[in-house]
Amino acid sequence: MHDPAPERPAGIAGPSDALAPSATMVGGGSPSVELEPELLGSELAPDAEFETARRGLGFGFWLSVGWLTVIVLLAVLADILPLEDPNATFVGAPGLGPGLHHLLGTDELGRDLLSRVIFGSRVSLIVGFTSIAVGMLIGGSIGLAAGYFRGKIDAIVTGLANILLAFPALVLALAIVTFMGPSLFHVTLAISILAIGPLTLLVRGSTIVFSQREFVVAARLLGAKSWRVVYREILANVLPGAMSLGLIAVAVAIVAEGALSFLGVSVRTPTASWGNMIAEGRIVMVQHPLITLWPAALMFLTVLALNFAGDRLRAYFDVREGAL
Amino acid sequence: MARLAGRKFLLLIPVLLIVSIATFLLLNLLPGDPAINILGLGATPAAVHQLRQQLHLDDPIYLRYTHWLWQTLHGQLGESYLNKEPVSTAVRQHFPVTLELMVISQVIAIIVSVPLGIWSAYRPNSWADRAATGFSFAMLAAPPYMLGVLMVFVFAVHWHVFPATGYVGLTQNPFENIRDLFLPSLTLALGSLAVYVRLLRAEMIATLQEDYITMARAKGMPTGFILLRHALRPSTFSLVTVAGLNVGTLIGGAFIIEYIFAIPGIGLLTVNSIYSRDYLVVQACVLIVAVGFVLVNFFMDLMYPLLDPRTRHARSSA
Amino acid sequence: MSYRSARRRASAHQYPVYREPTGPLLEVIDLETHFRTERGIVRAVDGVSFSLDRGRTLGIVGESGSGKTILSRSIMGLLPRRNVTRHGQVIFQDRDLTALSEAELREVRGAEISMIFQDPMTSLNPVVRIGRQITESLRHHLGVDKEEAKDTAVGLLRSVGIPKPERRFDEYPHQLSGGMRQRVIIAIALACGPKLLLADEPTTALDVTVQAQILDLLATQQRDRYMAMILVTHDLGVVAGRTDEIAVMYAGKIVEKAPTTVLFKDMKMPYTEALVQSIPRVTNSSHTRLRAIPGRPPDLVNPIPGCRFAPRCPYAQERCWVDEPPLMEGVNPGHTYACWFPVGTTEGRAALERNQQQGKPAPPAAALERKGA
Repeated sequence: MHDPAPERPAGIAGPSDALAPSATMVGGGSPSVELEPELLGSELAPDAEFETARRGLGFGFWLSVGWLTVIVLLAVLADILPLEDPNATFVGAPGLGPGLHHLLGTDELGRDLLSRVIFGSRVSLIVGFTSIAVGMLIGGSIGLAAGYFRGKIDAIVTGLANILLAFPALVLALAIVTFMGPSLFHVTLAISILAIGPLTLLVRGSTIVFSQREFVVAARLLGAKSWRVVYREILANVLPGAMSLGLIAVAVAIVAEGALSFLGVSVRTPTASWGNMIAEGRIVMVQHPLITLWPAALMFLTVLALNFAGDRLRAYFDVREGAL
Repeated sequence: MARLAGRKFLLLIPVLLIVSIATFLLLNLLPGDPAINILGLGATPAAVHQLRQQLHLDDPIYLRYTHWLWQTLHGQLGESYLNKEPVSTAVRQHFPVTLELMVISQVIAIIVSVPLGIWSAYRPNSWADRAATGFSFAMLAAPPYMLGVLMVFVFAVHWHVFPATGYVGLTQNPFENIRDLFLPSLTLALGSLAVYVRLLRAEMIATLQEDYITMARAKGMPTGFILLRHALRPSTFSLVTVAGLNVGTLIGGAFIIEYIFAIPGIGLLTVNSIYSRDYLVVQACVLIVAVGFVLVNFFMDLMYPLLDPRTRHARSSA
Repeated sequence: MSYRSARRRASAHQYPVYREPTGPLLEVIDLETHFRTERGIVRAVDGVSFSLDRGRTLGIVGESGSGKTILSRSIMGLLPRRNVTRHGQVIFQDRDLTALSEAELREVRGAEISMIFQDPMTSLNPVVRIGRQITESLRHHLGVDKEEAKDTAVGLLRSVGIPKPERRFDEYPHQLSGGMRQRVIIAIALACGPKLLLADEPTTALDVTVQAQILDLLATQQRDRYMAMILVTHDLGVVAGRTDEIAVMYAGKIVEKAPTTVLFKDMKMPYTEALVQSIPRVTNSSHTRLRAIPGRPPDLVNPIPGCRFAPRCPYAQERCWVDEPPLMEGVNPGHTYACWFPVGTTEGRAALERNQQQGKPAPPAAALERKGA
């Protein structure tokens, strides 16, 4: 291939690749060590926060990744796992506590809770990951273009994204799903639309930051074509940060789907989802609190893991929210 | 400052216009006949025809929009299909309840998050800071429907401290009103609280590195005085912005919480209208909430100069 | 209560017994301030001793990174809470400040020892009115009421040369220029009538035209109030005419200290000589090249075994790489320096000559990596 700058492999950049430009810039700077300012943080703020950066991702991150892997595997393999039919009633006595035959117990209709929770996770995960993937693809491309070319495109894009943000998210999702009719597809669509606004602004922000970096300016001056600069120099650097914030966005999407499920406008019963299980269990909470607690706990841990992993990665790639 | 407010106000108008267009289109551009959407599939052709006439559905879309906007601006939002009441009356009854719920929750969130955030920043990595960080992470992972259900279970069903559901108007019995709203407000507050603590902590840690804090220490001022009188205010700038944006999340949370606690606010009205396919009410609620959200952010913007004198004089000195 | 005792109490209140000061106002003994960092221990201040009498001025001169700012903050106890160790004594009016609690120290700071910071643009709180930034320490330390504090503050603003002080009192820092802000900071520092003023690079961030004004203002105030002052700077030119004594710092240590006139006339330390030669002079012809000091400032994490200036010193001999020179007494009273081959002595001249002819002796293997230049 006739490629003028073949050093940097295209496509998804690994962490070392993303950090490379800033590392060279620091290394090439003045060798003199200015110790005083950094040492003299106020006594009131004893530690300049070294925290995450440069220290690896930490135990919590891997714990989160572990949990997410387990949940995703269970959801994917649900059909071939030895589970009861999640919608079959009276596979056990109603309202059983955890036990050998039904690990998590049964609900008020005698359905197996373990099976329902696992099949329910499919709804959350499908909606969460699909909607953010769609939002990232659309919002990301728009944001990339707006941040790179600036000018009129940028003004229009930012304006539209801000108007999309002017609607309270849940209310907009509720409105869309209501008017289109509740279904898994429409819920995913509604949350994708919601995701486009913030993701556009996010990618636009970090694109602007990277477009002004020396290596991008240099590539432009060397006569690289616009799309090549965007693809090789900017995308490779924007992507890690966008992906880590994407994880947090997935958490938000899962929470949003849960809300719609809870209000009964997402997948219809008897199909289980975490949100509608919480809503159903609420009615019999006094007698059978576990029916609500299991899906709540799973959702809590999954959202926590996504938030935590995303937050760690964000700190690791040093995405500043100020770029927004 | 007045000029700045005026300029921002002018920017507000197109945003509100587009919000109204979007709300209008939600009902009118979706697949299918809006009249059938509103009346349901089982509607008689006569009823559909009558509604089409009433909503001017045979006019071109821009005419319909201007007509609708004109009516809306005059407070005529149509009638509910359920009880034939004017939609505006329903909105007027339900809106203050939601407002009260949100205001109380924000008061709780700020009262708790400010001291917590200050302390976390003053002693980062202390046990209190770690506890606050852990709590924030947990709260961010616990959506209001989960928290709400748990709160009802623990406080109302188990301990009988607060009523599980119900609502008494503020004017009827202020004491009962607050008692009814406390648990829902607290539930709603927890999410905001988590965001505010984390944000204030981060901002405050940055502020405490500033030279003027060292200067205040060199003056021999007590630590508490420095934290409250020197460091707090410069650390709240982005808190104000985020609090404004957070109103969107808060509205979503209020919808869920009104539903759980059966509080007759705009959220419960919306959700119930969705169930009963009372679309004109839904449309009105979406509009009122979106406009309210835009207005809140507009006023949050205006608060900046109050907090930061630099933005107050930027124009005059430049 | 008898008439006599009442009168005695009244007179005691009005005329405090003047206690003849027993020693110097400030005495710093073997002060060390070390920071624990990721790279290792930074010896920012590494065994500094000096003393300062009432009403006298001391200049502390050094490059950035020489530890001079940390020194002034160590005296005030204004150091980060964690990862810092401080040894030695700071005796101020017969009290060891390093032994005081934070609360006791707060009563000294601002009231008896004040500090002026380098950057007036960042040292004033942007969201607090200038008036309050002055009156808060008056009210805290002297317990005066609001009105009196305001009168005092307006008087202070006037005395530091701020026009229309009544109006400035209610303004915010961003409404003032840099020079004016530094005047406000000086007013704040002077508010409670301190006995010692630490000025840390008070003019570095200011325009050249304003620098002299601020330095003159400091000098006047210092004389009028009979304050002692420590003027910390990287610029020997700043302290030349305005201090009684000068201490030159290098790599966390004082390497030469002398009365100002002696230092300029008869410097012994090659580093001092290099600093003096780097001052631009009006008398030189217009295109004379300034003599820069070669090499980079020393690494405070792993100081080399011998003289820390050796890598950059034109006089350095083998001994300098191995033996650290102690502070030695000079001919003039009050003159101390740390050098094996002092400027202006036969040994020094011989060393310089030898280096010019044969090249500088190579450093021993241990110091090789820090050859500099």
